[in-house]
Amino acid sequence: MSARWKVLSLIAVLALPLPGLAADAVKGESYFAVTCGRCHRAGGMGTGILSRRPGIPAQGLLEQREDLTVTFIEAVVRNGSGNMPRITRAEVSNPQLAEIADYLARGKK
Amino acid sequence: MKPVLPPGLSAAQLDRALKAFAKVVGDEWVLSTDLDRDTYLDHFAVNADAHAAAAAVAPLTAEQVREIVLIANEYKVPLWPISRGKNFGYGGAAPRLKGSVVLDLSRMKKIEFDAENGTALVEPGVGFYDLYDYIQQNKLPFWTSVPGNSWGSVVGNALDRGVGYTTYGDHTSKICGMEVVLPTGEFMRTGMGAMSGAPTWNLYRYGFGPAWDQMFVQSNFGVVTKMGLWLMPAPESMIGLDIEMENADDLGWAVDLIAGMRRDGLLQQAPSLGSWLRGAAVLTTRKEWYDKPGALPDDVIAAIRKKFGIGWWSANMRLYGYEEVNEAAAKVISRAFAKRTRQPLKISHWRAGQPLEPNPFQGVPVTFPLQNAAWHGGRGGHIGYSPVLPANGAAALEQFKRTYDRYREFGMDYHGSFAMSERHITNVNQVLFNKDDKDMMGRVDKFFRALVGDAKEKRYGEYRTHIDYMDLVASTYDFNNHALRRANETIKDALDPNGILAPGKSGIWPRRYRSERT
Repeated sequence: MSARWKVLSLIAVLALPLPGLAADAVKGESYFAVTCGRCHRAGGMGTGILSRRPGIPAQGLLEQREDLTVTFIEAVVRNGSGNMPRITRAEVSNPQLAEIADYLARGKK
Repeated sequence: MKPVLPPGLSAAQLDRALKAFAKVVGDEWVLSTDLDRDTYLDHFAVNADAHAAAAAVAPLTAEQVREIVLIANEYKVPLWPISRGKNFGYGGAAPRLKGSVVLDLSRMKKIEFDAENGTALVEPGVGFYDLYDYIQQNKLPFWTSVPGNSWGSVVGNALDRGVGYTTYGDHTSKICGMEVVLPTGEFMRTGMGAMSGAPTWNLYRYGFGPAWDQMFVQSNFGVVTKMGLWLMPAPESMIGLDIEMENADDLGWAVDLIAGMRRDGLLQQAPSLGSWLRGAAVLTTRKEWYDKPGALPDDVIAAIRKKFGIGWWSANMRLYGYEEVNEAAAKVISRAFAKRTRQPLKISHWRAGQPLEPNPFQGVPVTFPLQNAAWHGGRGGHIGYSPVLPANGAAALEQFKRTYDRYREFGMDYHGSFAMSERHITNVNQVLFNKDDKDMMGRVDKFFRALVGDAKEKRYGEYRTHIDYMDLVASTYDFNNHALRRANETIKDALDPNGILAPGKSGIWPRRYRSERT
């Protein structure tokens, strides 16, 4: 493996796609894993960018943050933020987004 | 509500069309609020508003696509089909013609897999992760081929001639049979699919008479609703041979050496020779290295290379298949490199049964390479400049030097790679920018046009481009007073008399909108 890919693989070592979701996984977590987790779990693009940004907690991992609110998540998903493109309703519907936001914000509006 | 309309269409006409679309797909899947419309803007564009959509409609089935196309003809509404809309650097989900209605196929996610023959028949909403997960969950002995940013659609990527890293990396060449909705709303199947029920639809590409798969690639002649694709059998072994090249001039001999190996079949995957910024922009931001405007100076480049232990160029070659065959090929490759350089090849082995690594050489989808968009800090973005060159070292070196000088002239950081095919090189250059830097953004357009002009002078054409530059690139294909464009538009007018499908895609304008050419 080249130096470049070796370095890149270090940050991506946990980024293997999900082979399947546990049957008892809550809806919000399931939706997050499939529609957001490719970029926002360990090794993903979003995590990598956020982890380099000053003042972002939990090494950029959204699922470990305590400061997220439903309103904030919904706004970022539909309006984009920084390098994150906007996500359409066709890709993540409003009910799915509500489940995801609730999962990440743990009830904080 | 701020109406965005295509030329010649009234708000009332659009409204009637949207209501008719809703009868087909349901109200929920006509996306027409201000916020909906904004979600289809090109997030990485220099000027996103120039390509704003009027609305979007998101069908679930091919039959719904057909009905939408019929309605678009009735109301003369231009449609811009997207698969998943992740064509970043080339326009994302945004239409070429402002005011088009995006035909968003991302909900169409069916996969049919023929495990005996190693083919998949997929709908446009199937992403690389979806296909990878499907293969893993069903324990199928095949590998996907994925691009560096694997967020997008399998079909969409093949339709824009995207590439991956394995021997199946030339994705458009792995297409075998399509189902298409023609612009007048008729279903057609290509190749053997033209025979109802043929078991060879996804096995033999050509059928009888003209073969039309490529007619629907980078074109606006139909909406692809199903695509047959060949998958690589999971190999027994993969051997990696990686080399870091010290000097910029090493590009010349390395291209000649690898080109020979590609032509004689020793190397069956397309290695890409990439410059130092390719890794550095993924892992770090510019201000960690340098805080002044203008292109990075040589001492900073040297510091970056030292930190990551990388050369001016890195080349990553991969052998796939039977272990004994790979071992033999690796010996021949190692011997050939040893004659040219003292720099050692780093050799790695993977064998079936070992876990897959999260990298595209093993067909495992990843997203982290797109972290490079954050290189400058601020709201990052990028466009791609990708001329096709002969697979020749002197030509590659000359093109590199010309391009490098242009990057420095415009104060931009060089980010180039040379992907080696059997007889050509795709020279992908990323123009990374910061949308919050007004001065830089003011330079991007001139810079890009200068690059295209340089290539044109050498008679090199781009293989793919951003929606902003489709007319510019199409204009460089100028043989016999643009005979290709005239032929394309003759076909366009015949197949799409109302000009409703993706006007302006690849510089092909239907008669109705021909005055929109820039």
